[in-house]
Amino acid sequence: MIPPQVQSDERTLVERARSGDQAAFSELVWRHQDAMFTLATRLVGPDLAPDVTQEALLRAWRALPKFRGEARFSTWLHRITVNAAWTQRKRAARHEAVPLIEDTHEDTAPGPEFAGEMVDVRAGLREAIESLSDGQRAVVVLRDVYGWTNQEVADELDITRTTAKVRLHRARMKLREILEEAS
Amino acid sequence: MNIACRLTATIPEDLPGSRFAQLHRSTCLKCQAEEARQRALLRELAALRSEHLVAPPMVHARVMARLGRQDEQARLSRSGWRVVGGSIAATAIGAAAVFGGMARRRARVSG
Ligand SMILES: [Zn+2]
Repeated sequence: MIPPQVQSDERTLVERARSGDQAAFSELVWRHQDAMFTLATRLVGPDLAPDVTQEALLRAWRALPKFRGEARFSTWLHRITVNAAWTQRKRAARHEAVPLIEDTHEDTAPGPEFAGEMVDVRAGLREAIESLSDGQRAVVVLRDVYGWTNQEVADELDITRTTAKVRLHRARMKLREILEEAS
Repeated sequence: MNIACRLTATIPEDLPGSRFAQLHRSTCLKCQAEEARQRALLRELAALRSEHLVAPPMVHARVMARLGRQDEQARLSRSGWRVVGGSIAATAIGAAAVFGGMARRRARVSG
């Protein structure tokens, strides 16, 4: 539960960012980048997650004038992250994984110090999720980890609700298989 | 595992056939145990929601740097249009003045 003061503070920041205030957007990036990075890591793994997070934040900045506040800002950012992850995943699948970062003078490969820190250990489950196919992983992460509805998952991944349900079922079975084999 | 158990395991919830699975499960201890394991998995998955990773610090820096560049490009292209627009307007005004002058001269000659 977000305290009302923080919510109204965030609304002000979003309003300012919508009108082009970069300082306000910078503050919003600080607040939301970890959650977006976490989701991106779950969807595409730690190597592509920094690129996906950056791309999602840039897309958010460009789309901000169209943000009307119907959904919570964090939900809106999550959707953009899923879209960016999907784009990046397709690109990687075509073996055209071009880094989204333009700067070439720096080493853009995420080193271990930037790989993110897990605050808990559920390595087996995380590894099992990573070994799912892209489609199954996306469904299981959005539905079972993030609690989206089947309809929201279907809309976001551009599949039918039935496909989402079938894919979810198969993903869960596969997870159990992997976990049972490992134990 | 008999055929009913296998069917029960393969039918996704809320889809045709799930009523059969439900009925079978209510009488089959093996499938009830399966369901319990499934619930445990769902609890574990939901618990992942509370895990938070820390984004690499360069994400913020790079996003803000790119915004700066994008805005600068947008500003330059806007001012570029203003310059182009300005010169088009100046040309149009000049042309209007020339044609206006010619027309006035022609009018004086013919008048
Ligand atoms: Zn059974």
